Amino acid sequence: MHSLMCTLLLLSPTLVAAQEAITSGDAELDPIFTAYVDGDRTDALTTLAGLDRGDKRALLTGILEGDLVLWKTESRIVRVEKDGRSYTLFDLVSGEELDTVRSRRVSRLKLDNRLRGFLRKLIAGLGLESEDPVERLTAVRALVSEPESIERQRIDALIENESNVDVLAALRAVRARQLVASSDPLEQQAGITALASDLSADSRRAIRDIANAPEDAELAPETREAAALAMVNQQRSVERYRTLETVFFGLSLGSVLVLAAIGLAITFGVMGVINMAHGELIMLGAYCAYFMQLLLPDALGAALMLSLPVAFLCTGAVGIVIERSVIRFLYGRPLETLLATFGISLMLQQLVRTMVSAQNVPVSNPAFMSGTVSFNEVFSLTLNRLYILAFCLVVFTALLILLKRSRFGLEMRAVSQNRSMARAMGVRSSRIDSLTFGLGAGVAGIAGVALSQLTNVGPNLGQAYIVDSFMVVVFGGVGNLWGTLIGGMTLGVANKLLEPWAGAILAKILVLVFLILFIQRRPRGLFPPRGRAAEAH
Amino acid sequence: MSHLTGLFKGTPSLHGPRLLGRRSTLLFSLILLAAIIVIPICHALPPDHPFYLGTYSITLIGKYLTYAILALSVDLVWGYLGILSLGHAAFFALGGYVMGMYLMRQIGDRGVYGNPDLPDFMVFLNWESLPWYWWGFDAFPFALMMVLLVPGTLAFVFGWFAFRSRVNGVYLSIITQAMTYALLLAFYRNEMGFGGNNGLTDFKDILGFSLRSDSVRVGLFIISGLSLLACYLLCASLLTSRLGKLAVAIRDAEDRTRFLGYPVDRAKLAIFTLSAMIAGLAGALYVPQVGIINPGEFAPLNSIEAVVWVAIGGRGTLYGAVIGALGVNAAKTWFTGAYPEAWLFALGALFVVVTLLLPRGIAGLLFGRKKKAEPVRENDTAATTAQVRP
Amino acid sequence: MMRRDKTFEFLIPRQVDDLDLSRGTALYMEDISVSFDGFKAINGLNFYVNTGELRAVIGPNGAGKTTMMDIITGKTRPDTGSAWFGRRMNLLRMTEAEIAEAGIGRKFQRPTVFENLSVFDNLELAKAGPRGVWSTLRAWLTVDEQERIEELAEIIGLKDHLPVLASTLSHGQKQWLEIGMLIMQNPLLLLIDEPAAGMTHQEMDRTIELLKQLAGDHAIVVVEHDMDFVRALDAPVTVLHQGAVLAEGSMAHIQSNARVREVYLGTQATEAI
Repeated sequence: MHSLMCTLLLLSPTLVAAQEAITSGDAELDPIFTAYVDGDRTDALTTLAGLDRGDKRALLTGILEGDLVLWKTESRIVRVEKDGRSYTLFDLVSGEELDTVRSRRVSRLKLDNRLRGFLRKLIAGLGLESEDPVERLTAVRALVSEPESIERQRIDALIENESNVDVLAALRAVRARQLVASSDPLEQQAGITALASDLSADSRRAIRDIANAPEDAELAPETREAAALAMVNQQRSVERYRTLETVFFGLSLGSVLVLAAIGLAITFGVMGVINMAHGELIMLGAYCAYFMQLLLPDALGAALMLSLPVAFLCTGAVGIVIERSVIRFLYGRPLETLLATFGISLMLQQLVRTMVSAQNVPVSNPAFMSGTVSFNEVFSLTLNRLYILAFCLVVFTALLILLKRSRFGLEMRAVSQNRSMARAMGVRSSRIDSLTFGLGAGVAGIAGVALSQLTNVGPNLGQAYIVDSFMVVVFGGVGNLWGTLIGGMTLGVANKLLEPWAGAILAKILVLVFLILFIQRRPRGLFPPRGRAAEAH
Repeated sequence: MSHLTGLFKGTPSLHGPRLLGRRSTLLFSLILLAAIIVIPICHALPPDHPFYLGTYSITLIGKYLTYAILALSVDLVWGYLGILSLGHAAFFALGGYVMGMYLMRQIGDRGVYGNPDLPDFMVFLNWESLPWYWWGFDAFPFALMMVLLVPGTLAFVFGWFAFRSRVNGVYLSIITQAMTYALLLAFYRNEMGFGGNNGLTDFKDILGFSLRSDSVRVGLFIISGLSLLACYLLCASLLTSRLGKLAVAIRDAEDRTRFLGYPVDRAKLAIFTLSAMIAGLAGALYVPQVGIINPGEFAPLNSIEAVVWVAIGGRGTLYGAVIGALGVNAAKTWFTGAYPEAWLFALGALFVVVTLLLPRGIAGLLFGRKKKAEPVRENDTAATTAQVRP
Repeated sequence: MMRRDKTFEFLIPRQVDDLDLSRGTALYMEDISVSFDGFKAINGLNFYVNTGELRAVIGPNGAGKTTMMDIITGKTRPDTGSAWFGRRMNLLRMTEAEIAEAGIGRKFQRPTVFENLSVFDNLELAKAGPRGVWSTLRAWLTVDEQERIEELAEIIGLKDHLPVLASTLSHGQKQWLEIGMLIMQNPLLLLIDEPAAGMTHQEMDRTIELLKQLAGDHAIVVVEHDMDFVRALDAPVTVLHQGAVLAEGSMAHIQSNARVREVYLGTQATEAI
């Protein structure tokens, strides 16, 4: 009797609550929430997840996160927004604002940890069918730790319909884990083989887990062996791809160095002029990209394309002005040109600081420049670096053709080899000097446009590249475009290969020290000019 | 030191240009000595006296004097030996770091963390013990020796490689720049054990005297002045010796000097190393006066600025280098106070104007006419043109 | 102006340790070849100079005359072959400075003197003596040495120009200064590249006289284009062609050599001889 009384007393609140039907503003949902409040929570949630509604995921998430509450006075389930002690209530379906009440007027829907886990799984299951690949990926990843929570047929169906590479890899990993988890050794090994062929982090983790599974795990010894072998193979190929990626980063850095240095290779190599303002010409080119984007804010891609010729002409013109006003008085005195052009570089920097700003300016990547190309899970290349590498090769080839095949190139080489003889042959050497210097400066300008896609654009942009550029030119051998290309690429790759074990700064220092030592051994670089002319140089 | 006496007397026989050199040495020494005496007197005057100089000004002038010493070292290798070093600030900064290490050890347990064995930044980085290369810097004589030895050794090793393999002209300039750039990057690393980005600072005492006290500041000024005088006389005596003539010979026609049988590489190495030591001394005098040394002193710009002092003052004349260093820095102080925006414009324009219009600098402008400069310059240019243009 | 009555102390050849001239040959060059970018500047050259001999070397442009001097003085390293000074000194293993100190002096085609030093300083630097850095720093001219420099200056006609900068000298005066420096250096083997360029006939005569006076104690190799000068030297002549020796002998012998006439003199240049 006593115990019966107690039971009744305990049950009474529920009984009382059950007598009031819960509303929610949607007839389909009312019985579900009534059942939930009644205490039949697991069933209620399963029913909700089974409905054919677009917002069921949002509702489930709302319950999980406590956004759905019971409005006690109205016996209604509403969505709530807290603001201090007052609660604003909204209709579940229409989202219309209903009232603002005190906290004691509402009560949260009951949840415990077991139920939370169940909810999460439900939400994840729903995520598998989401339109958004990111949501799908999250949903599949949630399955990896519990591959048995989903039927094999369902996974197979999902794999069939999946188009996204990442999600597919994760799904396969789940499938493989299911196989591995089976008691049949043959199935286990089939699972391993499936995992081994894929380099995604998920698969690799799965393999690793199996290979390192505790002794008492129910695994056939062959499975364990296969997993260990697969792990080693995977590690090897990951390392191979990492190296490949490092080499790519090296080539990318190299292409930047070559772009920065190639203008210098012309002014320094062909004319013997040390242009310390070269870095600032690169900076001006980068600012051209910035101004073109300001002019055409809606067409960033077109702005970038247009800024190439604009930068070439602008910096080329600045170069010609510098040549006519200063450098032409200093031919044959390389150390003096070094000082004078350094002065010019200071003025150009200050000019940008005064006229634009001392701060960095934003230059955005147009759509076609952003993004990556993935070859597999561990090897993907960023598009902007890929484009700049290609651009570097285009600029290089164009310059090579210009120097070797055009009349201008011929006259330029003639003047650089024997000025007075060239003049006697009717070459207007001073005009060639101006144009050559202008060409070097213009190339610096388009290098600046390319650099604006990779680094911050600011007044100090040029200084960061000037020492490196000279190193590349000297390393490659003065007066040799091929030397500049190979020198720049070598230095870039060397730098990036050193980085993983030396760190970025130390790698740079090591490369500089190597260069200093290299120049001692071969003072004329990788591809030295030879013969009697070189002796006199 | 027979040259030192010869400096002032000289044989009255033939040497026109050298005669001017000797008179200028005497004149320079007298003016500098006068300044070393007069400026502390000005400081001792009552503060409302029109000629009164505050401690700040004294320290500022002291700093300029250390720059002048650096300029001398640059002029020695560039003006007389023909090596345009774009890395002399590295030797200056190394001397400064050595002095900074001594001053750090002088702090003892008065640092923020109060650790008697380790400087603050090492405590901050959780270092357990003093690295070996910090040993011995508690002793001033050892530190003083290192002020000369560290830059000297770097210059010796660097020069030994460079001169032996005949790295010349522009190439040499570029690798000296690479050297200072590499050091700049290296000293930014905390792992180096020299305070990383912040460098060494918060100094308290030197030889037990507080760096904040007035008399120590005046003392440092006087020591800087006397050091400048000593370096000047050292350079002048070296340049009037046959080695000085050899240096000019190497500058003008290196191959010819070789065919006369002179060990050109060794001569260059000796003068380059000496010059680095002088630069190191300058750095060591600079640090206690400004109270900080950080990796920024290695910046390639600093080296180039030092070259510009010499170019503006007049390379190939020792007093020109000193005039250039003092003048440009006074102008810099004034400009950055009055028109901070315009300083880089002014400095840049100075570079251009001096290289274009005043190849002999202020010294050439002041004393050039006496030396029949015109035909010399023409020939000089022609010779270098012929050498550089293939 | 020249004082033939007196033998100057510095004209007496000095002794160099390690140098063995006992066989009477000062310079051996055997089988020397060197090429620049595929162009064979010197091609299997064999060339010997006896002690105290005066030798003229002629050859068309590009025959390898200057390159040969570059090899002897250590400026250019040959690809193959051997070059010995005396019987013990391997020139191919020595630096320029070591070769110069061993006693081979060179006068360049274009006069190269130290433009920003006085004539006196130019001669002082050339003066034979210790060359080390430390000894150079402490070097001090004795009154005796100063007098000798003045005496030499008189021989080369620059006594009044001692205190002026070398850059103010005329082309001919620079030639003389360089010869003077060579004499101050007092080498055992003198290599003289085109001494007559830019000289008047009178100066040429003086040069020839001086060279003849030096020969006997010093071995001298003169490279010259000016045929009058070579004839007046009255010395054995070596003809270089395409980097090898074409003919050797007296001037008369050379002039009658058919191959020399053919490849070197050509038809038009025959008159010049």
